[in-house]
Amino acid sequence: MTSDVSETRVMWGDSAAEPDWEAVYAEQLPRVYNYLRYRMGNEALAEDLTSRTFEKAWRDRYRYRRNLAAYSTWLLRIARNVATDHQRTSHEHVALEEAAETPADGSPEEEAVLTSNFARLSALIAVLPERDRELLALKYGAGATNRAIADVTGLSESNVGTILHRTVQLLRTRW
Amino acid sequence: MDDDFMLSAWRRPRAEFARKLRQNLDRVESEELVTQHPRPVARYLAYAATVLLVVGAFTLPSVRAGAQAFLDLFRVVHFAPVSVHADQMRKISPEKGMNLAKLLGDQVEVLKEPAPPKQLATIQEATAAAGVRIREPAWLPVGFQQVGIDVMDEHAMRVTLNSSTLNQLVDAFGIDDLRVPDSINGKTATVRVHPIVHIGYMRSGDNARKVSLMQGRSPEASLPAGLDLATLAEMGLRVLGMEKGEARRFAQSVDWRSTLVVPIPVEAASFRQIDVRGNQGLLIEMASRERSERHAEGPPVRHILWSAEGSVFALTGNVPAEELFEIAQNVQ
Repeated sequence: MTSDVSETRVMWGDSAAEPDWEAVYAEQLPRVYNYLRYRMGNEALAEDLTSRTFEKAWRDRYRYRRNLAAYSTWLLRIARNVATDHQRTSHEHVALEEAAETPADGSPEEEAVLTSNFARLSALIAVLPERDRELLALKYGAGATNRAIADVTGLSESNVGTILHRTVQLLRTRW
Repeated sequence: MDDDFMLSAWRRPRAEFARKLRQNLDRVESEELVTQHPRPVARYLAYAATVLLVVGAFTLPSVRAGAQAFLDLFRVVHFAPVSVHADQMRKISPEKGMNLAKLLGDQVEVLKEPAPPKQLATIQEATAAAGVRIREPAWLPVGFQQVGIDVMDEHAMRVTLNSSTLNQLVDAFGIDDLRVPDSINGKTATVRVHPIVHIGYMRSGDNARKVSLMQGRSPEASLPAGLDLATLAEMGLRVLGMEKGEARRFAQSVDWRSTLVVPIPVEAASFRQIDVRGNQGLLIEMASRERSERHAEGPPVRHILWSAEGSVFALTGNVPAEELFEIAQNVQ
């Protein structure tokens, strides 16, 4: 069966327990947005892809099955697909400095430092292999646990931990 | 550099962005509530049945209330389209608080949790899984091929009626002239949705189109004996936003043991009743092709609902109306 067919699948009579989608939105928006922000390194693009992710999720939400995945994992899978699709169709590598446009919470001096630091960090992340960027985005953008990252990526939990440790070490040396 | 540093780049989304996205999702909800994805059609069939089931219990005549339970059985034979406004539809969506299961809390007991959908290889397997003969269209437009079969498991729940909770539900919709009698307390009703088989068809290439056919035994609701179904229906129609007098007239003119209300938002879809192989059917047409991500090309998405010999059918596709109608006529 193709994915197209599964996408048109209908479920008559799902579980009586419906997720509170309003709560899902409030809770998951920052996580999805920051995942895409870390992964893509661009504020405007992260917003655009976040919108696409949620709109797709909203259209498919009646097919969500609680017993198969947590909301967060389900949404992150959609976000990953959206990001990958975007990268496939766009060879554009956007300057990462834009990612630091959003003001941080804190004094102007603190904001300036954080903004500068993130611009620099984004530039370092941008040259990492795709898989490593992905793991960093899941870990620090989405706030996912190593186990959740393993679920989403198909890597083992220990492998996730190893790669993340090595990647952060690498960033540290380049900082 | 450590975790704190890595996390220091984390930002909350801009408030304006979050607000606009939420508005977009409201729009998506509104569109989905109509019929662009086959799920909402079926979903609202089920919701309509549940709403009618629950509010119908209000009118249980006390003189008969203590008699026998589960003597009345509801099955879908006819569909009654009812135009409603999207705002009213949103009110009865789970996201807007009209989550019946949540509202009723302990009063809903899931009797049969559905297993995950299962892919099947043949129509024979589908027939065995559904417990009813699965039919296929003997005719398809040129270029269409079957691309998959799957079955959704059966699902059943029992609702224990409670007047005070149900009155809260009625109050929430501003209905103050109909009240739930205490005599219904403790009575139970069951809703059973039988396995549903989905068959997908697709035409690839520049002129790509999709058609899907869902079918299964009619959902059933076993109701406490003695329900005044006409009044039950009237209350359900009021919940859907129908004006008081119109709801009363409409409710009195229909056999509610075999008719299921299909709410259709006037802003986004039109409908007409049709004949499908000698059975009353309902053709629903989306107002705009732009509303469907998966049916973005070609004619707008249309749905045909009908019932025959104890089974319910829903045919969906982004093909011209005459082609979809022809497919429906050839389901055998």
